Amino acid sequence: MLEMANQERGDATYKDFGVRTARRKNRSVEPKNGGPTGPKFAKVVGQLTKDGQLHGTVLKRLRRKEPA
Amino acid sequence: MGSLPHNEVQYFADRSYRIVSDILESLGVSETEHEIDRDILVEVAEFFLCDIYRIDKQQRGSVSIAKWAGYWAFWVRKLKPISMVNLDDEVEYENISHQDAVHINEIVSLQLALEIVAKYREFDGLEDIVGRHCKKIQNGECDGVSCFWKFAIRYMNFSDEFYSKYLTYSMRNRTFGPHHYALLMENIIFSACTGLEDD
Repeated sequence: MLEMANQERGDATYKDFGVRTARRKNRSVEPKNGGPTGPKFAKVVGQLTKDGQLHGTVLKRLRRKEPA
Repeated sequence: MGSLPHNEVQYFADRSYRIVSDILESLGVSETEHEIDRDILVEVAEFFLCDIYRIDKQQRGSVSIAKWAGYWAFWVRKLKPISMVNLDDEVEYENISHQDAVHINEIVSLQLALEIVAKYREFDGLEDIVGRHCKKIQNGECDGVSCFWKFAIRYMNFSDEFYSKYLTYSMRNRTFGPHHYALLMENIIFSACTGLEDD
């Protein structure tokens, strides 16, 4: 509701904050590495979901098998 | 949430499902003992991406490993996609205690954060201030992963899992935000490192 009220009044919302800050400082807001979900990140997330890639629990009591 | 790319939300929701399933398997929690709610994982992905896009803009693309892991794991701990089939007092699980079953979302979330940090260090994907200053990593004497796991295991198992239990209790019963998570990961990364020069 607060978000909607701010938008109706034309005030800055938390979603604008990063852009407005960057403009004030005259810096680019272009993300590095293709953005927070760019290919570099997707590669790592993809690796996490491959078989045998997880380390497994750090709790010795619950560890079922030795990590790879 | 409407401005988030639908394919990215679905991608992270699907990946979250896979990773959470694998962590549960590593804990010895069988498929008959738990359920994972895919709709909640879509929410996890939406809130995580919303946060991470905002941080990426504010920090002009320099998002640390710890924040990436901390925010993703936080939404798992907050929205709790895992439910044990039965949490009655008399129910016994094959490999975990009743207390573990009650704290299953917190335990899995903590492991998720550690897995993300380790994997990102392996692939040098994100801002890593300790890695940049570590002589051993820079000289190729350390991969930044084995030291991380060695310390994490030592820390979480110290004195009958004192810190691990304190963390899971705090997540469930006290305030534990994404920034707490990020700071915890930063501290583990720093403490694990043996290649930093003393001031």
